Amino acid sequence: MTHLALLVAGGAALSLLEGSLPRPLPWMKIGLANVATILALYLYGARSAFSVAVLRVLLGGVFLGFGPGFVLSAGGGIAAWGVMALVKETLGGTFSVVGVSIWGALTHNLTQLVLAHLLVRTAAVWALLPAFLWAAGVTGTITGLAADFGLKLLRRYPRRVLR
Amino acid sequence: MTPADRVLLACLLCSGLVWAFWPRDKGEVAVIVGSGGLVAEVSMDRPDTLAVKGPLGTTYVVVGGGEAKIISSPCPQKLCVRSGPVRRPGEVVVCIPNRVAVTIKGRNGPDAVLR
Repeated sequence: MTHLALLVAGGAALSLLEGSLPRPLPWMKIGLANVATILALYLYGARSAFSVAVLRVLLGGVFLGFGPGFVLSAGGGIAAWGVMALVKETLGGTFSVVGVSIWGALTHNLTQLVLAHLLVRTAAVWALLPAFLWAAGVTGTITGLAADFGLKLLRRYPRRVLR
Repeated sequence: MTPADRVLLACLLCSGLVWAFWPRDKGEVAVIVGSGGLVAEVSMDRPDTLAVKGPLGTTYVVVGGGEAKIISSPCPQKLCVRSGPVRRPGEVVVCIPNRVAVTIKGRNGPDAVLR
């Protein structure tokens, strides 16, 4: 429980850190907060990762408000959790942490396009699809490598520390 | 990274690059959609400013010189303003909080379907 709370807090801190980094495209976010969900998924399992994803999204809502941004973040974050958990369970041998993270980023971006389509009520937003696919590859890899680094760091500690 | 990771990454990066460098016509018309549906279709040859009312207030769209851009919007993050101008058919700039979308059409019929 304590460790999950720490992951949520760490995810929020990474979000803040990311906010201060320059962005190649205005709407492109690296999504470093997703590192918290991935760490929870690999260290504690899918259920715990779900708690971390939901709490992280709610925490973001408390700080940034519960507007359309919250809807996009909640939908993307929870859909990404679902697909990452599924890919890890079924294809865990085929894809590493980085692959699972890319699947998460891809799901996150596609969900956001669906939600944007519903919010703005125009299919025109799908013009962004190729750019979003490309961005998912880039951000998913960066997030995945960060999560991989985090896992290696945390797994150096004895198992009882992680429970 | 496993081979499957690399294949997945390569597919995503290639799709983006093909899209970015795919040859396209010059954009002629800007199609502006607000929360009530289609607002206007205007030629980008002549300079013009359009005020689009949304749930948060008024978003200002400027066309002219073969491009269209959102110059101000009452949204919190201003992602639409920072996105800059759109020129080529199929490109889009969206303000999700204020429900405004600007898409570009070429001379030869629609490149985007609006609902």
